[in-house]
Amino acid sequence: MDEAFGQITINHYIYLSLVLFCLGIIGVLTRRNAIVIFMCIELMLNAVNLLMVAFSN
Amino acid sequence: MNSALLFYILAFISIVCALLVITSKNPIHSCLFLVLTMFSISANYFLLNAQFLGIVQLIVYAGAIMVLFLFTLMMLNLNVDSEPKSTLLKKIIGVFSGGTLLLVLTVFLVKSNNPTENTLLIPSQNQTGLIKNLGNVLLTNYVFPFEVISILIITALVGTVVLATKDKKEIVNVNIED
Repeated sequence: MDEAFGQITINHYIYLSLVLFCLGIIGVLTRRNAIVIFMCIELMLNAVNLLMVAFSN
Repeated sequence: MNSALLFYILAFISIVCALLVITSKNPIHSCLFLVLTMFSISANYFLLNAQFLGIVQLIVYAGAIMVLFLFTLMMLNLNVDSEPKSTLLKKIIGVFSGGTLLLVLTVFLVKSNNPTENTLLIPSQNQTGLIKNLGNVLLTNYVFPFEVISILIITALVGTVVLATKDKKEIVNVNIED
């Protein structure tokens, strides 16, 4: 089972953070409700936070 | 169960919940899905051996900030999405712009020969995120900022209470003087 999924490299975290960030951008551009726009900005901040913690390893 | 499978499960949950955040019609549903996304990102922090940050993410983000969002939504009665909906053209343009950014950055990452291409993450070697080490450093090297921060928080609390009860006393005084 160890070789079935490979090791998690830092690239996996880069891709995950990138997808979450772009989903946040799409949310900000698409939604009209002000609170939902703020929530998508929070999503973007979380994606960048995840990237920072991944790079600190 | 190794950590790679756990990472893929958490990544899947994060992406699905983020998609549901941006596509839900009801803003309350978006808020609840964002709480689930926060939970999965917090679990990712635990995988990266950043225990303190994981706990703080749960307490502060999922416990205080998202509760504040829900409080605002319920107080302003925005649970029915009543503002005019953006037209289909605007939605297509929004998805196209974000998707183009995603595509460009993904292609850039895949094609580049960055030297950190296959850098394995070995989280167990990272000792700075553990709560024991963090508390050790905080209470020996950084004691003075620690105490100053606690004084600042107490000042903020006292100020909040004073500001919150100031208006009632003025109203009571005006009524007595009449």
